[in-house]
Amino acid sequence: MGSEAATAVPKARRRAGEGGGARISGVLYPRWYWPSFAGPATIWLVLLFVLPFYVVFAVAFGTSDLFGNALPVYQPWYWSGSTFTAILDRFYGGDAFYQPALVRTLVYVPAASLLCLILGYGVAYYVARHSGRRKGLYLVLLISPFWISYLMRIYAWQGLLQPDGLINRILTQLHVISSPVSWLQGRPTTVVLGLVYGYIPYMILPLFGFLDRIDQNLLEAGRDLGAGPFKTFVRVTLPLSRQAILAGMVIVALPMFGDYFTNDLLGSTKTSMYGNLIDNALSLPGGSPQAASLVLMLLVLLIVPLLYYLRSTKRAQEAL
Amino acid sequence: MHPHPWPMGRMNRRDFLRRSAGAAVALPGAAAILAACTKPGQTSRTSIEERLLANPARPDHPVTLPLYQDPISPSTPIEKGATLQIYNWADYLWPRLFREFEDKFSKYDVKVSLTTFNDIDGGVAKLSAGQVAPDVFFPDPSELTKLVVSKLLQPLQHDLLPNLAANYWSEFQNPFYDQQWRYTVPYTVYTTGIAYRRDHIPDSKIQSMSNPYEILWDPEYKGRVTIYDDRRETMSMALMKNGIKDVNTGDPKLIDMAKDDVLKLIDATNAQLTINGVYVKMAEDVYWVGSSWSGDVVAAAIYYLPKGVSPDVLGFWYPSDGGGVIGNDLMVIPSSANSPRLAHEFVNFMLDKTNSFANFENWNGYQTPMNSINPSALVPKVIPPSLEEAVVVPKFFDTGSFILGVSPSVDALYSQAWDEIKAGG
Repeated sequence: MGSEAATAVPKARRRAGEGGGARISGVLYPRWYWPSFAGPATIWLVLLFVLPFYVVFAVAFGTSDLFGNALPVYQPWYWSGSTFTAILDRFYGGDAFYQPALVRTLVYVPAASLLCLILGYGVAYYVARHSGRRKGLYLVLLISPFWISYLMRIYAWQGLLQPDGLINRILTQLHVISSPVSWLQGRPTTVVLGLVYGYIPYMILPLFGFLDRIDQNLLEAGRDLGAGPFKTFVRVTLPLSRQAILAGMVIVALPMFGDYFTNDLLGSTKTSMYGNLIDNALSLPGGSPQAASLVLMLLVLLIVPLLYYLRSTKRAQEAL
Repeated sequence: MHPHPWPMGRMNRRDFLRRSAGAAVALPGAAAILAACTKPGQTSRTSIEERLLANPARPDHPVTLPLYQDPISPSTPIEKGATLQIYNWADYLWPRLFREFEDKFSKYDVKVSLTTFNDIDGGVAKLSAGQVAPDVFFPDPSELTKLVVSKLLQPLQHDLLPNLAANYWSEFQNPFYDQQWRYTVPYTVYTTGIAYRRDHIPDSKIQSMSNPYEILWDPEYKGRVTIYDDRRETMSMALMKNGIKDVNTGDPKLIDMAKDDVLKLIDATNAQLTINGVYVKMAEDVYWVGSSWSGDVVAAAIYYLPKGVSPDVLGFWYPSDGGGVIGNDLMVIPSSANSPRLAHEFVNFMLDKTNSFANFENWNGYQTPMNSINPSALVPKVIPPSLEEAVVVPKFFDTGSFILGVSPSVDALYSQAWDEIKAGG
């Protein structure tokens, strides 16, 4: 009886499939039924992502009016690549004044992401494995920075890091420094630490999610097979959290590449990043096509790490 | 229930007719959309407009701006229950005056609402893109021609603005940038000089310098220098430092030189590009020296200094021959104004002697070019003696350099230079 029931359902499904529908629990669903569940999200994506994305193209390859407002060109046959090539020239041409900002971004973002990982992994590991009954409390504390907007928190840092701010006063009183340090005058360290401060919760949360789900039995198995705590961590926990590390890195690094306000508030033009180039272009008369071109170039730049992440996730799933 | 009513590629006659009818309706619609978005960027302008844009107003080249519509009739009734939309720089108008205006017109149930911008490029861009639809806007003369030929402003009804003729300097009754004051009335006048903290930099230091602009490049004040996050102002300051009085120059070499000098300044002093660097941050002793509009340093003294700090800590330098950068801001009524009559009333209200002076004295520190203000009597009543050079006198408008509109191709040169400065080199 049992085996008959087990084979009966797939047969029914196969038949329904041939007819174009699906029979579950004896009900025949039309073919559009299940895909329609994705309908609202698809419409949402088309309206708020695909169409605006096309507008970015139309702006990048379009022109601007007397005031610099974008005049998007929606017909690809009228598109002009002049802005795009001019911008490329600013990265690689004879007058490559965008290049330093690109280089800074390619240094600051990996540095900040790595710091997020190093600092965040320890926290996530502790909360996931050793916080015991306080796990809930720690999780709330981890989310607590989100209660105050990032902008507000960075403004607070601005106050703390000013020449006569609390940090300089404490360090001077402790004789760590003899005169106030100008933290906010275009110091790469300040900007990188600002990025870490702003984005580290986004690293900790996915790491915690993965680490919390690691089967305790696997760790015990490692110990049973003679591995010490360190070796168990290196051979079992770390490989198992590889996906979480990748996810965390992608989640923090992608928005950092477009971040401009951390540098605006904690740095100066000396620490301008890619996001600042976009922001600056937008405030220039005639700058909209330039800003849109920069957005498209950033997209191309980010596709590489994103594809690597997707490929590695796919492989990890296949390995399961 | 058939899960798949008709297979792909096959349809009956009725469906075919129905779909064809749909397509017949939709296609002209699509065609209309495409026609509506024919290749943009080809705005039609008359030759007069093109000439105006290519040769913007200069003191020796006065301009009468074209009219595209008549001013509103003086008998236009005051709009009832209206919310007057004001579009202005941040911190540039005393909020109490809004309340007083509402009280004055309370029988019309009027409200005033303020939207602000942080730099003139951004302010004008939003207005021209239709992102704001204000009743009163506060630009400067450099953008005026573009605003008018783009039909974004409406001409003023002089009969509704009697306070201009009654109260203001003759220079602004028929200014060179708007002959017959068709579109504008003055709001404030100012100079651009150097503000400094006298508790860190003695007056004698600046006064003994053969070229006081160079103090902004002095590495001794590393981390304590602020310059304006404003394209034309900062480029003008660098041109002035190099003795170039034509701050509207279109010479690519001079623009390039000014750009390189600003980059050197940032490199030497870690200068920050700000808008509130003087009136807020210098008052708080964060910055010690910076390029400054005269009104900003006066505002810092009368409003922003922490309690207990004497206004004497602030100093201001402007070339003694009056040959620095000068300017004035304007009040205009956009063509999109929903309450044009009320807008006229507001402009006239701001041109009133008492209101205008109250705005200057209590809030923004920017002088108004009114006959009733005796510049030499402002010190020490309103302006502290240490800021004497921040007083604007009419003769500056003969000796100083105005930042004015430039042709689109020259504007692009300034934009690229500014882009390079902001990208950080």
